Amino acid sequence: MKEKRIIVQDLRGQICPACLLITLRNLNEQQAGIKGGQAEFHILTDNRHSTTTIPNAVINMGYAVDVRKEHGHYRIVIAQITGGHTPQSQLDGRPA
Amino acid sequence: MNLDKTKHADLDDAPACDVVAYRAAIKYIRNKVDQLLTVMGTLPLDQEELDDATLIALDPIGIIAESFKQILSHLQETNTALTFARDEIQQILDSVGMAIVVVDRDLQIVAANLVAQRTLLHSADYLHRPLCEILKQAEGAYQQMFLRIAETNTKVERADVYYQNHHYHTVATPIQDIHGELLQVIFSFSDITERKLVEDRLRLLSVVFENTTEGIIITDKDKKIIAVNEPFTQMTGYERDEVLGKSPSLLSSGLHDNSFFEAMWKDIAEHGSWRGEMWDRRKDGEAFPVLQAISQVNAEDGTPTHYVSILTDISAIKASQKHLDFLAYHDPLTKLPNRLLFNERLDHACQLAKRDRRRLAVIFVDLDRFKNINDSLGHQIGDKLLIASARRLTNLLRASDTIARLGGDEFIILLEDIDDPQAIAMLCSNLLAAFEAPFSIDDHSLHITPSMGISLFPDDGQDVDTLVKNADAAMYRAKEEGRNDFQFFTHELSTRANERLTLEASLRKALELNQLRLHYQPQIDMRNGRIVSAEALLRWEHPELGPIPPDKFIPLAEETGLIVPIGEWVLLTACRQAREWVKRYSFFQSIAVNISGRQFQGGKLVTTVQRMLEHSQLSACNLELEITESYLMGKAEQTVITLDALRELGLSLSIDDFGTGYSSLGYLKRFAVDKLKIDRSFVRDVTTDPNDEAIAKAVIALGHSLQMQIVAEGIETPEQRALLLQHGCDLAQGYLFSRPVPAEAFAQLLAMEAAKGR
Repeated sequence: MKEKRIIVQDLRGQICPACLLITLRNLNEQQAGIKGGQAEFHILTDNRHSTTTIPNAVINMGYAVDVRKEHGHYRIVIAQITGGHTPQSQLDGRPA
Repeated sequence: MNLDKTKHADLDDAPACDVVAYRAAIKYIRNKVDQLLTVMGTLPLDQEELDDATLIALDPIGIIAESFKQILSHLQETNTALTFARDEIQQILDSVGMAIVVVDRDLQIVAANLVAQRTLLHSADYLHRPLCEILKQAEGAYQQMFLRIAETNTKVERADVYYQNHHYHTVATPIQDIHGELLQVIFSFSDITERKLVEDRLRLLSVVFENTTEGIIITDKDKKIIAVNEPFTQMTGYERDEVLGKSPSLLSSGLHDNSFFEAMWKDIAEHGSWRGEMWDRRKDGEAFPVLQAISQVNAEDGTPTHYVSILTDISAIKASQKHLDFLAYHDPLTKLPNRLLFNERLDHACQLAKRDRRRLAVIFVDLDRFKNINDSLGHQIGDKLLIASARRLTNLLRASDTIARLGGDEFIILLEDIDDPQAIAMLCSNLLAAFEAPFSIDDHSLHITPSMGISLFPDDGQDVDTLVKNADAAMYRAKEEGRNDFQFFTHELSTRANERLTLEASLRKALELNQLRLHYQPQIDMRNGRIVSAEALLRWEHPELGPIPPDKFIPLAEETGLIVPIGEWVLLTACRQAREWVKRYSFFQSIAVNISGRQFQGGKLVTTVQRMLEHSQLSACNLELEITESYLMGKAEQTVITLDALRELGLSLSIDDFGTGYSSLGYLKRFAVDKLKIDRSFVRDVTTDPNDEAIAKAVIALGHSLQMQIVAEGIETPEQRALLLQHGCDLAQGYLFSRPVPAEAFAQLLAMEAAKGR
C-alpha cells in the first residue's frame, strides 16, 4: 500500500483565527488528496481553543478529525472519512 | 508566512471619502466573514490579530466559499447515505420473519415491515393511525407493554400475545432521544403458533410416554438407547441411567438365536416395523415374554434416525392362558384331566395300540351311593370326599396311566400296554381294597365303595365312544351285582346298554302314548285294621316289553328330567282319583303321592300342586306328599321354605324311607312334617333282629314326641304287624293287607271296606 502523504501545518506560537483561515485554505487546496485518502493534514497547535473550532468546521465539511495531545501541543489530524461518515466515537474522543 | 500588520500603501494617499468607504467595506467583509465562520461552526476572526491588508490578501470569503462548497458536497453525500441507510433498514426489516411495528409516544404507527402489513395490519394505509384501531383484539396486551416501557424505559417481553388465532412472542423496545426521553417503541411480533402446537404436542406425547402401561425404548440409528420410560423400568428392573447409551440387547434372554434377530431387522428394514412375541430377560435374571412392536423413524431422505420399541409384558396373559388351557382340559375340583383330555389320550392310545397290536383297558369307576352323602352332608363334604377318592385311585396307578374325572362321582382310568387281563383284575382288587378304610373328612368318618366296569381294546371296542360306553355298561352291571365290585364287559352287557337307550326313547313317548298307570296300595289304621288312605305308585305298561319295574325307569326319568311332566301327570291323576273316593267313602281320608327331588328343584312345585288341586277339585287336606329322607336332609335349608308353603296350602307331608339316610333332629323339628314312614328294610327283620326292632321302636317314639304319625312300610306278616302295633305304630302298608292294585281293584277294596259297616 502506498504511504500517505502527510501535510503538516505548524501553527505553534501563532494565534488563530488567521490560522483557521490558513487551515481552511490549505484544506480547500488539498481536498482531493485528503478525501481521496492519499494525504492527511496534520495541524500542530498550542492553542487549546483551536482544538474545538477547527474540528467543528472540518467535520461539517466532510472530514474525519482526530485530536491528539503531544508534548506541549496538540496534533489535529484531518483525514478521509472511512465508512462514509464520521464515527461517533471520533467526535466523543475529543478532549474537553 | 508573514502575518505582520502592514498598512496598505495606497490608503494614505486616498481621499477621505474613499477611506471611509474602504473602512466600511473592510468592516462589512469582516462581519460577513465572521458570520460565515460562525455558521460553519467555528469562531469569528480577531481584528487585532489580522490586519486589513492581510485579511484582503488572504481572500477569506474565497476560502470560506470554497469551504462551503465542501460542506454542501458533504451534506449531499450524507443525504444520499442516509437515504440509502433508510432503504437498507426497511429492507432489513422487511426481510425478517417477524412482524415489526414502530409506534410513537401516542401509540400511532410510524413504521411497519412487510410481514406486519400482511399479518397484522392488513392494510397499506396504516401510517399515523393508532395501533389500537388496528390491533383491537390484542389491545390489552400491547398497551400493558407500552405502559411498562413508559415506566421503565427498558425492553419488555411477553410470550402470550394472542391475536387472530395466532400466538406471538412479542418484544417491545424503546427508542429514546438524546435526552433519554421515550420517542418511539418498536414492537416485534414473532409468530410462535407452530412452535406452541409442537410444544403442546410434545407435552402431550411426553404424558403418553410416561403414563402408558407399555414399556418404551427409543434408540438412535446406531441402536443405542437414548430414552426409556417409567414402565420400562418397572418391567425390566433397569433404571434409566443403567441403559442409556447401551444396546437393547442387554435385555436379551438368550432364548432366540441369531436368525431370529436377523429376520426381525430385515423386516424392519423392509417394512419399517416389526411386531411379534419374544422373550426378554429382567435385570434379576428372570426371562419373561413380551409382545414387542418396533418402528423405524426416518429422516426426510428416508434414512433411519431412530427406532422406537414398545414392549408389553405378557407374562400375566401367558400365565392366565396356561391356566385357561389347564381348565379346559382338567377338572377344577380334583385337578385330574377331564373328559376332553381323557378322550384325546384314549383316542391317541387306541391308534398306537392298533399300530403296535397291543391291548389297552378302560376302567369306569363310580362311587356307590355318593349322592346320599352329598345330599345329606352337603356339597362341601361331598367335594372333599371326591378329592380324597381321586387321590386313593391315583396312588395305585402308574405314571403312564391316565385317570380322569368325568363329572359327579364318575372317574375313568386308561391303562395302556396291557398284556394280561388278570393284571387289570388285580389292579381293580387293589383299588377296591384302597376304599376299605374310611375317609376322615371334617370330623366325619365316611365309608364309600367304588363300582368299576372294564372294557378292553380291541376286544370290546376300537374307538373312544365304544370303549367308554362299554366300560360304563360293565360298571352298571357291577352296581346291579351288589356294588363294591368290578365287572368285565361282556357282549350281553352291550345288549343291555342298548336296551337302556331304547328304554329312554320309549319313556319319552310313554306319557303321550298313555302307557303310564297309577296303582294304589292301601294304608291301614293299625288299631282297627281299616283302610284310611292310599299311596299312589307309578307303573309303566310297555306294549312290547311288558310291565317295567319302577326302580328301572324312575331313575331314568329323573336323569333325563322326564320326571317333571310325569310327576305332574301322577299328581293330577292321583288327585282326580282321590276326589272320587273321598266323595264316595267318608272313611277314605287321603291319597299319598311321591315327590322326587327333581320336582323340588324346579321351584314351581307349590304352584303346580295348587294347580292340580284346582283342576281335580280335591281338597288339600286330602292330599299327602311323600319326600325321601335323603333328599330332604341334603337340601334342608332350601327345602324348609317350600315345605312351609306346601303346608300353607293345607296338605300334609310325610318323610319316606325314614332311617336310611342321615337325619338332623334339628331339621326334623323345623320341618312341617306330619308323618314318618319307617323304611321297609327295618320292618323286614323287625321280629328277628333286635337292632331293627330297637330302631323301629326309637323312630316311633321320636315321631310321636314330635307329634308325627308313624307309618310302617312293607309289612308282610301278622307278626310284624303285631310287634309294630305293640310299639305304637299308627299306620301300616304292605302285602299283608294288599299289594298295589289298579284303580278299579282299589275301588273294590274300598267298597268292601264300606260294606264292613261303617
